[in-house]
Amino acid sequence: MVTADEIESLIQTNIGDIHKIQIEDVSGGCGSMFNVMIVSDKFKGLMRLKQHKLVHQALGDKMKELHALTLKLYTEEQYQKTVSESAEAADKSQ
Amino acid sequence: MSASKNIVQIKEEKELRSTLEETSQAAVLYFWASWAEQCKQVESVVDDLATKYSKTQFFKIEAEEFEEISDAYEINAVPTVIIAKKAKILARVEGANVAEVVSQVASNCGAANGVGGKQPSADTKPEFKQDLNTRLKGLIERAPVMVFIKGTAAQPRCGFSRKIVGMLNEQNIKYGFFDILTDEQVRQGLKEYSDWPTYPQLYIKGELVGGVDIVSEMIASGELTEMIPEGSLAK
Repeated sequence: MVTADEIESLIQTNIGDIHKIQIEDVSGGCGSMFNVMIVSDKFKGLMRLKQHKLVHQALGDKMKELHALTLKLYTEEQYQKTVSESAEAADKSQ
Repeated sequence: MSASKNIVQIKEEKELRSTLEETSQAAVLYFWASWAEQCKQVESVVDDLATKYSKTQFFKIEAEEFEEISDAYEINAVPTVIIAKKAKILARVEGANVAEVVSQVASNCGAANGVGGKQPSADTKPEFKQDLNTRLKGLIERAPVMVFIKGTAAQPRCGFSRKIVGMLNEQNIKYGFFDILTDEQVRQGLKEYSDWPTYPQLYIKGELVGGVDIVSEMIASGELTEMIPEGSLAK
């Protein structure tokens, strides 16, 4: 069983430069399935596969305790883009 | 799917006790509760294993209904799978640790069912590993687009596997699949071979593309269709 705090701590320590991070336990409190969103420029220039592997490595042994992990990874630029795109969409739908 | 005869939902304590006393073989005890969401996952795996290990007796026990049995086996959480031989507990798996459940049943019940049983120590010998790597490479290259999932393409056994199959179908991609629940060796070996810890895994022309998150993003950006070899796009 893993906690959201442990995950956040490992990512802050092992990746660093975290602009924004959101972690959600979607296993009903069992600490086995998480949705994780991270915004960091450490992901810049890395292929998606490499970005995900960075997170797996940051979690180290804890990875083995997890049953499932859903990752949404962004660089700061990419994140700003999605924020403004959804703001635009919200405006349009009014 | 009709239930196998070797798996029962016990209605009385003595059902369990008498069977365990009568048989000298290992039996699988699955403790569940209706309020524990994770039990559904483990239950479907237990059902599958019962079909595969037809000579082993499987028991489904509603933990709170049968408090004495739960106490006797020191059940602290659900789901819990116990492998027991007479009065001895051979293995205990707590939580939705599907991989461990499959592995423990294979280890403890395999021999009785003539399905391989415990992994031989030859596992770590270099020649064995080489054979495994060759096998994995062969599987990965079995089709230009190859996906390793839990369950089959027609009946995926996990939300993420279901999602990836759905996405590939939607994009009209022709692909081969491998059900990693049927082969523990491939399931663990491939994680090491590809340095990727989870399933599903998508490969295109022998190279790992990623899991469901990555595939989803690549479809949204149009990148995935660009990677698909011509012969694999259904017209």
